[in-house]
Amino acid sequence: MHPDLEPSAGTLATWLRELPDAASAPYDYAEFQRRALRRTRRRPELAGERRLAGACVLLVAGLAVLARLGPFPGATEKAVTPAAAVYPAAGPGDEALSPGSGVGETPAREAALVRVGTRAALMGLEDHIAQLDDLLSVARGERDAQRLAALQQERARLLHSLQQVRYAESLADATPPEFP
Amino acid sequence: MAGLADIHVSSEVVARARAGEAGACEALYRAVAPATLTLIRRLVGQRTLAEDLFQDTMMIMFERLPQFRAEAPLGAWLRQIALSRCLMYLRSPWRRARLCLEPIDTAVTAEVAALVTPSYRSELIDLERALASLAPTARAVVWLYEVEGYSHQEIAQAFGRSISFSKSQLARAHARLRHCLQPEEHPPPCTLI
Repeated sequence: MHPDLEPSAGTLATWLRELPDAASAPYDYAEFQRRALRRTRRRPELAGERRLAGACVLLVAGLAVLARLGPFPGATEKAVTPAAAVYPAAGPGDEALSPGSGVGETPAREAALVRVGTRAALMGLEDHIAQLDDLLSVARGERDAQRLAALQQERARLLHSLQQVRYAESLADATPPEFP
Repeated sequence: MAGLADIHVSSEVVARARAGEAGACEALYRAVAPATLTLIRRLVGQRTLAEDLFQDTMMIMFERLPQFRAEAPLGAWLRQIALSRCLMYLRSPWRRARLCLEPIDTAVTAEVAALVTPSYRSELIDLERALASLAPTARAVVWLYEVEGYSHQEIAQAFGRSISFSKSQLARAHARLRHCLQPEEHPPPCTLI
């Protein structure tokens, strides 16, 4: 577009204001009313569903807290007693590995591969760098050498982090998924 | 561009719609719906999501119409409702979580999200696509600042962020738009910033 124009900020703003509106509504008034009616009817249902979802969340949270705090005192003894019979008598130096010591009681958790998007992290880092650039301009204007050095150091650290995240992202993209 | 705030609806139609007359409600809907959808679409990008927010906005408009005191044009009043719905969505933690977890094919997204109608001049089609290729937050910042006339302070408040955030988003979005609009032999696909 516009081979003779290098769009400046002002030109961009003008063009943006010139963008036309959609020619028509996405659907007519009858359809709007139908959708509105459906939503209005669904509101009480949604309220019930929300209450149910809230109760489920509370239940799961309660179970998680119980699991975190450990089993009930009585249950611990019952769980340990049969295992203790299987273990040979512990010697004086074997306390750390004895069944009641807490080590080796539960099997090691299996490692889980969880992939999350890196976009939020990248955007956050880029935002921080942009803010630091603003601060650097101010510090340069004030000729505050100490602050300038600190800001530059922080900027270098953030750039390094950004580079690492991008590298991890490229590695993740190049790696075929192991699990279907 | 005849923006939403510039749309004139006669006070008689508004009064009849307020009284619940079906014909007037339909006339009101037909008058404001295209511009409302356009505004929402430019702010949030995705068509289906925009339609969802559009439905919300129109429902709120009809619900609150009895409270409309005609101190400002109806379009300006409706624009505030639409903007607040869009900003609420853009600020929501659900949207941020989805943005982190969803793989996005930006080239396809920009093509689909661009609101292009037969009335477009060719250069504006490019601009619309470039705009659609921006990240939702950056696009909203550009639109609020350049078209809706928000200040950096107002944008910062709307997003619950700092003024630096608004300024840096705007500067990066401008750079991205300029990059997308530069004529090249083999232009690279516009990606989200």
